[in-house]
Amino acid sequence: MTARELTPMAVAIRLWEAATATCAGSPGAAVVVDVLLVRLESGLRRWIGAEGYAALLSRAVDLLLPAHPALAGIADIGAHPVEPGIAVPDDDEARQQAILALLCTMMQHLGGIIGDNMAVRLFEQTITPRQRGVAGVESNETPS
Amino acid sequence: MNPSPASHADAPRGLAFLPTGVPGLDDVLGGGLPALSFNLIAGGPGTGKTTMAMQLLFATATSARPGLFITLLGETSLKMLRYQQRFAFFDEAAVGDRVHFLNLSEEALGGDLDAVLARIVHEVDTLRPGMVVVDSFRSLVHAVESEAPRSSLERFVQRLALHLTTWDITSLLIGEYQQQELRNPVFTVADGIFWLTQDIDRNSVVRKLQVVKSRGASHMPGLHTLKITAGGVQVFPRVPMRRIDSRELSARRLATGIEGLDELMGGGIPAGDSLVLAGPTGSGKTTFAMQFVHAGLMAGESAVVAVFEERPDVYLSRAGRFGAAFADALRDDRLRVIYLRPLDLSVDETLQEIRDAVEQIGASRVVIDSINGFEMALAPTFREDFRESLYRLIGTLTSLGVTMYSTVEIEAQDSATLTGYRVSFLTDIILSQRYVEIEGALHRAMLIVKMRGSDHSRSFRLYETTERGVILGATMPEYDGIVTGVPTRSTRHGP
Repeated sequence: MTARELTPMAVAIRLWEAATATCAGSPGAAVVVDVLLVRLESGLRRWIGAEGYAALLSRAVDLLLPAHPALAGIADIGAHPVEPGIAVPDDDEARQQAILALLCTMMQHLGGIIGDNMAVRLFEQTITPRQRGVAGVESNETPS
Repeated sequence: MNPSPASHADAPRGLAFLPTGVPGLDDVLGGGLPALSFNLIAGGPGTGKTTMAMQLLFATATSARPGLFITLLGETSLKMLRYQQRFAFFDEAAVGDRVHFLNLSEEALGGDLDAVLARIVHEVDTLRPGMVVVDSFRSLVHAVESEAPRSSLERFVQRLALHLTTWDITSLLIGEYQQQELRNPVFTVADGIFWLTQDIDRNSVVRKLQVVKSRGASHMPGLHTLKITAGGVQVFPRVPMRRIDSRELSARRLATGIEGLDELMGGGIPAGDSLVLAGPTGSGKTTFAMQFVHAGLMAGESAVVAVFEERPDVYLSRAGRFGAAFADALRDDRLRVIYLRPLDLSVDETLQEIRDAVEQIGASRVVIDSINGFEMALAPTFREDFRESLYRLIGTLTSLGVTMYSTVEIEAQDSATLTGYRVSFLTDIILSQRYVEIEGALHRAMLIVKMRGSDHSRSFRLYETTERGVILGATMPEYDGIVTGVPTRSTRHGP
């Protein structure tokens, strides 16, 4: 299947599945999220730099936080604290749905700049590390 | 560090050339981009540097030896993707496969040249590309020059060139330089320097390419017109004159298509010659030229007509009076009618278009109707050198063996010259048309002013243009002063 045929949600699911497969045993959603985000940052930084990646992530998180408060419980994505009185879900299902929505939103934002097909393609390419090797910090796939 | 990858081509090192994928550029470079060369694409903003480099990258990249585009400062990778995607050469499927992008703007902003070089070296080591583009090198220099001594910059350039070359990489550095900066160290290190300029003359914008140097290649000197089209960058080489004596081509004569005229021209137009038909407005120049094309088509030849003063459909509609020959030839691709009317053409662009058409259909006849319209279609900057350019155009086309027939409009009573326009030196044959007043009526007369190396009639001859074409009439031996347009009865023939 080519990138042209993939939807943002299909790619988001593949990213999730690939990250899950990387982790040994039965990892919790928090571990998968770490693997996925490290891999995503590694791939996208090549294109937009660390600041560009941070901006893209931050914009998507801000947009989605009201609908997916589980994002507030994920470390290192720059989510602001949720409004007082709003519960932050702590279950794997909520985390997974929040991350899938986050990936889709990031792809849509990026697609606004470079076209939807190319955006989906760039995200898809982060599923597997480059066979030829990845430099420096970008090669670090170990969850923190 | 990975072992050095295999060379791009089977040819010995230093002799291999890479097809650039930029139409016309291989000709200018003398065969292509020398493999393993370290090149600089320099010029001001908007001249096409990035597009040209990207086009080269896509043309040369393979899965085994991919291309790597490194962005230091300036246009980000995303912006580049956004805008470069619209070009036909941009293969979306190649991105991330045989064409890779790397944004090093953060390292570059830090001003640490060693860190930048280390990242480039690491990427090259892991990716093993065949071509690397660094954009924009000039911005990097600006970012570091306040903090780093000039020697560190020179060292950086030397080391970068060394690394890339020893890994069998052909590289392109992009920089916004001005010509007065030729003493910059990067220019010394570079094997090739491609200078792109963009000049504005009145409302016209003209881009040009100059290959300042290209080590190991016999490149074409001079300035070459460059255009950015939907296909990407296209270069129109300033084709050098390769004039061949037309008599070497053949002794064959081509029919003019006008009854009686061939006899006046010693049997017709020698193949490979250039003819200019000069006449005032309404004198039938287009009809003369149309009959020349018609004669060729009827003889099974192919023809190219470049029209500047009317649209092809109008031209072909007018040609319909000669029967179905034009329509049939158009259908069979034995006739190309090229419509060139934009006001920013270059001579080389025009030449390229006509040459392509000639080669594609094997045309033996080319008509330019008219030279005046051609000049008007050119960007103002090219009009200054119009006669020299026309000379080059005619010389190039006739050297291909085609016979050229051009029309030129002159003032009705231009008695100073028979051709006006001062184009006589361009051409082997000149036909001149005049309006003449005889006994209170306006008539049209024509004269063969010159035919190089061929006998021809030297008498004025009346003619008419009818629905069936041109009909030659009688000579006017009883008149003198025909060239003035107001002839008088010759005293030689009595009252």
